[in-house]
Amino acid sequence: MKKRLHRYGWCFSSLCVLGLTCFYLLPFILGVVQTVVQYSPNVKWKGLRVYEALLRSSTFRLALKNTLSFMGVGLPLLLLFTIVLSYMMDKLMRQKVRGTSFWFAVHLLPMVLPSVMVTKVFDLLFAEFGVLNGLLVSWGEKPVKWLSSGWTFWLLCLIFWWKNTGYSMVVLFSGMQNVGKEQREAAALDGAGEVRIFWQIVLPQMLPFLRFILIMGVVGVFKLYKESYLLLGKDPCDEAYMLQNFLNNNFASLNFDRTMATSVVLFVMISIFLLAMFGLAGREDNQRNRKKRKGSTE
Amino acid sequence: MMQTGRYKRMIRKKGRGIALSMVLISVTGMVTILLLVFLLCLSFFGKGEFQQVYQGNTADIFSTAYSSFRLIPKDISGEQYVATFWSNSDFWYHFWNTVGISLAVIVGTVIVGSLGGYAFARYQFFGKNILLYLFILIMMVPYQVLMAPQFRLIYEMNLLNKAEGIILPSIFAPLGTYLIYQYVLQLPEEQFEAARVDGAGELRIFCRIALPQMKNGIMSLVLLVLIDTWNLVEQPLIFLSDEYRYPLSVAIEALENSGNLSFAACIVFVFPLFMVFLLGKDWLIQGIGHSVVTR
Repeated sequence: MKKRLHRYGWCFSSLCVLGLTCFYLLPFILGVVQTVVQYSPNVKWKGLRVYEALLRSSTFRLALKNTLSFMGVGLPLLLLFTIVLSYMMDKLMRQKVRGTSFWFAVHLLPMVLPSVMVTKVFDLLFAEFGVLNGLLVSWGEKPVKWLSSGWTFWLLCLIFWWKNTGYSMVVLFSGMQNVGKEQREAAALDGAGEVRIFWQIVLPQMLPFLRFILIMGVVGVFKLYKESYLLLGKDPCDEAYMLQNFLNNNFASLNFDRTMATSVVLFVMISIFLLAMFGLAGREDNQRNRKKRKGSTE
Repeated sequence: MMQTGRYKRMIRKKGRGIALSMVLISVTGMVTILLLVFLLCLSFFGKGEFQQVYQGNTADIFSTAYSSFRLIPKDISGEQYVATFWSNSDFWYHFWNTVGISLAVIVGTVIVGSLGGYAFARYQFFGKNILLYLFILIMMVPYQVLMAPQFRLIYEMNLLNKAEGIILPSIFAPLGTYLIYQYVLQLPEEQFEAARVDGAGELRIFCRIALPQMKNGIMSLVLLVLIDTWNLVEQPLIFLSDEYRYPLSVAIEALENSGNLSFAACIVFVFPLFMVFLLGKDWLIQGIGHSVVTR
């Protein structure tokens, strides 16, 4: 019986495993090999030359710096904002305040709307001769180059927050449904204030969900290429030049080795990040389990 | 006495908290609503009036006049809609490109995802855990990392500049399998066992018992995939070289260059998605809930 199930498991999953291998895993592995080995005209070990050149290149450093600082600013604020927002939504839903589900849906809309819509409006407002500069000039101020200065970074942050709030909110919200109602009520009866309940009961149970948001936030930063491209084109100003631009531009100039090397560096960084996130959590879970086991034997 | 005072204070406090939450939520929500209203209003501008009001945003590079702001046009005109629906055939061309790519990716993902997700959730087999980790890993890696190797593959397969080059990799994206996997995990096990005891074959169990119950999970997947494919930007830019093959998400900008305004096109473009969202909001929320990786 067991053996038969084995076989069916393989049968059913063969399609997706095959697809993943052909379209994602194998090309990536072959690409990695290609950065260190030369195939034509004869097979030769290239070494880490490509990586060395990449790490030396100033554009790469600029892109890396911008991406990291974008994450440094964007992610914590996204986390903070969505946890407040989803907590409020949760509270309003529990109290059955009218209109909550409407606003809940409205907050989900940004992730549904295509990127063109935002960038069109942003272009109207922030272009060099756009509405906002028109206002500034009519007030006697100097016009600001919104789309080619330090401001661009913040405009992208704005889009990032706007775009990613909905998804993160739903994730946290669905996590909050799992926080025990009895536990909360018991704590409230014991005289714990709302803030204390939040810190000591809700937040600790939300940690896995927060971690997931953080991870998806990192992916979201790279997804911002859509908006960045539609708003700023292929070559944004230095302040808004991020790793995704670097990758796409090197790619467009048919610099395959360098693109691949960047992908590898990025992949390694993200793997370390993921390992750190899940590794830490794994240790926490183990500790909790051990405590539980101790409790049960006593 | 003290107890009641405390109680009153709590109600008062709670009321204030609720009011504050409501204000914050409506303020942040208003941003999205205003954006949509603004776009909708812009779509009713005639070309002449738009150029007169939003001078700084017209294609004329020598103009140094700034745009002013007007929400509701003085004379409301359906000029843009007429242009999108009738005179501008490019629009429909790109629109059907988008629809075609989306449909193909959705159908493919549902087939691949439901088979794979079911297998991962219901069977034990060698290498299952490692494979699951791989799926999760690839789900969490940004697309740009996989872009270059995938391009190489599409080139070797001779699918460059064809819609299939976008569709095929997207069908096998790990999200579908993972989402259905999470969904099937929470279905009760007993009925599968019961059917097995009754002598139903595995394929039969999948078609007759599992598939009907996976309906909600599949709908969530459809929505999530639709949102992504309706908004494709990177893939067409890389894999397609002929502009007439572009889906609308990239081509709307180009429509503008031909001298037409494209706000109405934007509205028409987003309308189907908007309706789907209104109808399937609950599936979407459920789907996001299932996409969470907490282990």
